[in-house]
Amino acid sequence: MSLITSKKYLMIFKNTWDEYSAYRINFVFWRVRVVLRFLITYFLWSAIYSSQQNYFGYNRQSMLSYVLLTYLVSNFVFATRTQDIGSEINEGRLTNYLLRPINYFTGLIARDISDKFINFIFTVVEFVFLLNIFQPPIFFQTNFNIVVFSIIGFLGSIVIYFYISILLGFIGFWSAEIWGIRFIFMVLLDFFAGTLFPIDILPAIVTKILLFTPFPYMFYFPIKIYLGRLSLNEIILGFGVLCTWIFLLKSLVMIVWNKGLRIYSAEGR
Amino acid sequence: MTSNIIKANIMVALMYPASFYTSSLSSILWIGLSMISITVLTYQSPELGGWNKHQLFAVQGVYSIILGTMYFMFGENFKKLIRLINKGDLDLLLTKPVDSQFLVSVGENKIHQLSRVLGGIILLTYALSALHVNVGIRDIIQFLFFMLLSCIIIYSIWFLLVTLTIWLTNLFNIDELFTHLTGLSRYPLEVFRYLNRYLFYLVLPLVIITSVPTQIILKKPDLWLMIAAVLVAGILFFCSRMFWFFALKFYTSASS
Repeated sequence: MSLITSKKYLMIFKNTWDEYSAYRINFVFWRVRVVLRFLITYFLWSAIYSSQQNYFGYNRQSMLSYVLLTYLVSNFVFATRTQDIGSEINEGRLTNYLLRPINYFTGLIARDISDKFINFIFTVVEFVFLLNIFQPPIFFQTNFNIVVFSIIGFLGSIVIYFYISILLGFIGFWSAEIWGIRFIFMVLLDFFAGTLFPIDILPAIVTKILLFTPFPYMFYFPIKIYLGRLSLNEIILGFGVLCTWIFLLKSLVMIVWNKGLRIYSAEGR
Repeated sequence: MTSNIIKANIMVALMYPASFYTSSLSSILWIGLSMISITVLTYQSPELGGWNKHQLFAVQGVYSIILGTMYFMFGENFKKLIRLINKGDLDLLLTKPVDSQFLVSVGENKIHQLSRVLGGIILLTYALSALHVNVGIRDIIQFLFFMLLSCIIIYSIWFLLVTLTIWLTNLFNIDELFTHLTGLSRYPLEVFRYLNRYLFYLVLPLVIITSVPTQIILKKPDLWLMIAAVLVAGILFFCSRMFWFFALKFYTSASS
């Protein structure tokens, strides 16, 4: 990427940052929402472990670590501007990007990096605050290789959600009813991605089937690697499925994008 | 007049059938997955904060009925209110000889939210039959009274948040924050007993929304919580009115 090209995307990064500065109360409300979501799950599990020492093979420390890590991972996975795509198409604002001498997808990545960066800053502050208030038992992984694997899995989870969210936004080319479908996806994600509980506490056959869908690779898989609860074979198999989904989703995004552009009429402009 | 409003809302719902179907599907999915989640959570530990699986189903049912009713009644109207404040068009309503809080709160209904209410009623009925609870007329009247109080609590909190847009005109994600705030009501009060005292009292108004009506219909009422529900509903509704009239003093119109 040339210097001029990188400067363009740096400007997109900066613009996204500035938008957050302009709408800071919205951002604060978004953070309150994220913390609330974490607290509800955290207290739910604390209540369960008040009468149980071990739950489906998870002790209190490993389960609360799982919940805490889900909160951390979700801060990065969900920090995306791709949810705006649907309304940008419906309101004709997509034209603004098409007319500019930039690659639409690289622009999206620049917007997302900015979003993740600002969320990262708030997450660190919140994390320290939550640790001090609730003092949850946290599991620290000391095996360097496992930490590296979990970071790679974590990056994969960001990419998978990025592509799925783009695809949901592209529904806007054909319909104005995007919100409902996105809501259904979020309901499914809550359950099948392992945000409320690790999916391996479900019956074995259900877990096996789910592991072939993209859902567990958004939360469950990287966190399980970090907790050291997956064997090397399971990690390799998981990365295989993860890469396959990334490839499939990327191809699908390009197909849908090309078809969508053919019928895009910049309605609303 | 009321029948005309209902007719108009039904026509709007029929104009956007996709929205109706996705909303119904998401309600069914949400209730189904909530039931599976509770079954999983109570699989090895039969009770959660003293509530068994079917009692927790009842809590989810009550939550669904209340939230569905609130979104049906006020969801569209509060969205419209935010738009009116943003565009400075609120004075068109303020000049009418009707109570302004009433006028901005009613008018449009989200018919498809009724699928959520219906799902909640089915879940609650299933839970009560599984628990072999015999519900009499007196229980239903008491239950409906406390459901009404819960609706007043939620309405007041929601309205207080929406009123903030008179100062914070750039606020557009109040809806999402409200949805997550009410998420605290999905589980019974006992789940939050591990919070420190101050935080517990902070979440209390939200948690009693479902806990009190559920306790009543399950015939295990807690007198102190019932009194708290009456007080919280009264105080919050009073605050929402006072705050609205106070905020109107700072409202600046764009058209006049």
